[in-house]
Amino acid sequence: MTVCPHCGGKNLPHATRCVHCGEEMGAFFAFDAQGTPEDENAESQGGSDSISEVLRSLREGDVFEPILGAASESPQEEPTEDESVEPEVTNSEQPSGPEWLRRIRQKAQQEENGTAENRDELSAVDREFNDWIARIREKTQREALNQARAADTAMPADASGTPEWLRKVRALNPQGQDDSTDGAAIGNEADEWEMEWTDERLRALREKALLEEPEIEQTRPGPGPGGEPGLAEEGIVAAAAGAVELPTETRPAEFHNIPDEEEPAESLPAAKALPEVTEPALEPEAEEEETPPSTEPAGEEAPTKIEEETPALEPILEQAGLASGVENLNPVEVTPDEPKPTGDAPSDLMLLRTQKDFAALLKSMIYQEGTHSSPAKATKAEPAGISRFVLAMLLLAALIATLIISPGNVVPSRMPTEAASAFADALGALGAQDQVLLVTDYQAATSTEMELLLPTVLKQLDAQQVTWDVLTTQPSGLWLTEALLEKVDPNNKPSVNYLPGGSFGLVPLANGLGSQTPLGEYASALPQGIQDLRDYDLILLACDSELQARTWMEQVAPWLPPGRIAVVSTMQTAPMLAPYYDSGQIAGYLAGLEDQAGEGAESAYFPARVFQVGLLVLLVLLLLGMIVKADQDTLQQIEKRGEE
Amino acid sequence: MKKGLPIAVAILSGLFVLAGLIFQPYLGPYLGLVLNWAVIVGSMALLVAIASLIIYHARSILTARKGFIFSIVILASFGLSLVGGLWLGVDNPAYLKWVGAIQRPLEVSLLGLVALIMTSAAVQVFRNRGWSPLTVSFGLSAIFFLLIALGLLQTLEVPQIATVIGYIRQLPLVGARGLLIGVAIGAVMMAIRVLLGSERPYSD
Amino acid sequence: MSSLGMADKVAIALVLLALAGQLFFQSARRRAPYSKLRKVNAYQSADLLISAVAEKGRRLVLGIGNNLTDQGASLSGVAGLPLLKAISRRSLFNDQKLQTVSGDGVLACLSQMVTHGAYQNAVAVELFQPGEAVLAGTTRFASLAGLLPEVNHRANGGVILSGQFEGETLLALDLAARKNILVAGSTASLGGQAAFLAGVCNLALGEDYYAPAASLETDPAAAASLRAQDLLRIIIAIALLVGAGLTIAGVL
Repeated sequence: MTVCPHCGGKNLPHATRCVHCGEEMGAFFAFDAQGTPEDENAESQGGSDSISEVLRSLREGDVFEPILGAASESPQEEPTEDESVEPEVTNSEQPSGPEWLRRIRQKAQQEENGTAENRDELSAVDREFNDWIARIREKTQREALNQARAADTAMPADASGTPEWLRKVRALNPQGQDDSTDGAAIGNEADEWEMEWTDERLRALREKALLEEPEIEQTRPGPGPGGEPGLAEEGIVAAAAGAVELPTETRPAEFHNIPDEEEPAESLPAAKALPEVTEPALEPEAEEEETPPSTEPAGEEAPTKIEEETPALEPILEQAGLASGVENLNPVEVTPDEPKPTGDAPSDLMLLRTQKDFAALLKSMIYQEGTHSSPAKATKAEPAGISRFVLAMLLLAALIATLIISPGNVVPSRMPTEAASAFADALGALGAQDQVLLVTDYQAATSTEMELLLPTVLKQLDAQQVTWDVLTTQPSGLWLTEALLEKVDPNNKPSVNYLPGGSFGLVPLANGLGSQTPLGEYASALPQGIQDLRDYDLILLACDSELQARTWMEQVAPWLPPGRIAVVSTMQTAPMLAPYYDSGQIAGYLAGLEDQAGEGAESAYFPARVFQVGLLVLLVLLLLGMIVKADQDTLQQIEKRGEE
Repeated sequence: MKKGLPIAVAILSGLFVLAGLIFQPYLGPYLGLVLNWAVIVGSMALLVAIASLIIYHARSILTARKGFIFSIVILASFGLSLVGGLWLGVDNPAYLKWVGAIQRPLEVSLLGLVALIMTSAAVQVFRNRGWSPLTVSFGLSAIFFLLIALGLLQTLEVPQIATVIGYIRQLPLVGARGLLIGVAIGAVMMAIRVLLGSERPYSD
Repeated sequence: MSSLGMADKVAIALVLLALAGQLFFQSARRRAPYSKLRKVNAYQSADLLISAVAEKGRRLVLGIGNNLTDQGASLSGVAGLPLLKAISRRSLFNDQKLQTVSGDGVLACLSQMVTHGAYQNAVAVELFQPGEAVLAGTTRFASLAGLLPEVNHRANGGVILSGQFEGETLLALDLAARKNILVAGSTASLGGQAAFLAGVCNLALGEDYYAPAASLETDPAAAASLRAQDLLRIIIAIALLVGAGLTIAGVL
């Protein structure tokens, strides 16, 4: 664990900000002679060393690592890129070295210790991820040092010892140079440029250089006689990069393929923070898209592999049944001269295969982030949209026509289902001395159907002089029940009680625990004299969801005598109710308009003709769908045979 | 400790509820109390989620994110409902009618749309999914039950047909029971994992 | 309950069997928990969808349903959270952030905690925004109304629905199909499964709904559960057949 220097709170080893006080932890990227946090903020405009910036600095590191290297003090080594990793590993094991490197090692050691302490707490995936991030960081620092050494060696210093790249920077930004030299608080010039560069400083420099690039282009000289690329071709940053023979990178613009106005501003923090001035680089990038990838260095195959794997995803998706929209996922066009990850992993990195896969995936994501991609292709208007509209209109027209033509309420001679008969029997068995609880647990959407079913039932209860109370388990049930009671117009209008807590309130209500609690809230949901649900002779559950029905069966029914619950529900819930009725857990149920029961059920409103026409249309369309599919298959087979 | 405490609370709560249900005569009052806490915590979580939603939409308005006009509608509706409920009371008939007059048409029209979409889905289901045992059985059962629901066969009043219809009506029981058993097994296994502390939906 | 009935005894036996199965498979398969594990097609599709969407730089919407505590408590409400854990770990640094939508207050809070925790584990907690995991609505249709605009978002590349969904979810599925957005889903609800079948969707049936962590290989305990589930299913099927045979024979 890492202790916050501001509040003393404990944080994760990698934490860059304290989770307790929000202050920056600071130490990880703070080196000798580094400015104060305020200075950093001023330079990087609020750039905290968050993970996104670390990732971005990894991506941009190719450009600025030479600058880092110019400040290092070991110019005697000139390792090639491929060889650069090995000596560095050896160096990192030596106790002597720059102060900042020592700190990094210490920090890495602390992190490893901290990780070991939390090893039991973290899951395997977390550990892998944290270790991997730490290794990436360490590796980046090593690579930065190696490339910095190479750049330092390659870039000759003048008589005063000032490197070439530094003179160019100063020539570009005399004011900035004055500022840096005038400020006594920053220190003398040598100290200023010998200090280690933080990611924020590098980014700020890059942004500044890019911002001033148009001006530079007007004044910069043409290419030298020796063909050495001048600033006009490469820019200051590329010139520095060219010293170590890195690919002359023209970074594509950092914009996403989704138009900005579609995106929430804060949902794209990385894109938001990136400078817009990189966009002019798009045109040369587009021109270079035809460059064959054979010019890539041989040792840089990792991202190419990933790119090759990408198209293979679509057959897999097709196989998995996800093919219907794969082609519409906008492909990211990766430019051939895109920077590639450098080299293989250092030999001291013991990576599992999954870790390598993750690393390769993240590498590809890092390098693809911000690459130019073509704007989303306008999808063609779907012919299915028109057919859908036609079908919907057909259905509506049929229903409306039936409503107009039909003689009105037609009561078909329908045979009640077994469950509906049982429900009617349970209802008929109630007498004046019995008490019934109506539980309204349905949505406003299905209230139309429920309010056609329930009134006949409640009217029969009234006719049999049964006392009934009302309980609702959801807030909208308050007004839904009021609307229902208006239709029923009972002799004694019961008050509607609301049970808070949803299903959590049901168990205490069912088994009498509610009255035993010190607060007794559950008992207050029932009328006076009623202790719990067991005091009712029948519970009439009006619900429109199978889950609610199941909840009552699982949470309430076990506490009640068998057959004490009867259900009024929608037609689509019937399949779920059937097993409970079959096993005798519910006394009976009405599901849908067909199953009306109770007083006046025979003459109750049932739009039978409209219902039948709707079903007929559905039946026809279903058959039509099957026929169309069969027809398509036949045509395809004929075409195949024709081709053969 | 930070992660251990929620796990311990979850395990103890689960075990206590189980014990309370089994040894109800002894632990009944305490079980009621614990369930009462659950209601309070659940209600508070709902309040927190609503507050988060309001902040989200308020930010949308302040940053003029695309579609922020809908955020204004949401916040205005929320504010009006809240003020109305506080001022008039949630049992005020006028307030209830006002809420119902807005909510009911919205939900009913959504359900009506489902019917229309189902119509087109009926046509496209075979085109999208092709011929498979699942789609064929779906198609056949849909046709049978639509025919039965039409009620035309029942009007013939032939006893044999009634028997066949009764048999077909029982068929969904088979599938429903199978699915219910499967879902119940899954729920039992998840509950065991929660009680063992290996499943922690409440933690990161 | 003062006395235990036959059903209670059978239930207790099943729970004990499940517990034994869980412990057995958890310990026996400690080294290779996912070896020869049955994969659920819907979650494998979801897995591919996550990768494909990340690869293309599109947005992923995860609906974790409703009804955890509100109208009908069910553990099925939390089944989407393991999936959220797995996805959020993998999509933290995607071009487009994962958008989680829930229809229950507790689920919304839990989803925020899970998402926040994923950022915290990645040492990028400052990137977390509460808007990444939102409450869509407090009722079924309200949450559906909240889900529709998220599905309709132009940046979307995929939608995964895992949780308690009812038949009206067909609206969201249809919208996704019209926008050519890939959908994978799983729900315990019969109505929801019917809607998922009718819509263009890869769906998980029955107890497979509870197996996202096992299929995505993010939780060894979940893998043990899946094996124990299969074992229990076989035992119950055999018991049903034997019971039916004994009933027909007149023994029971």
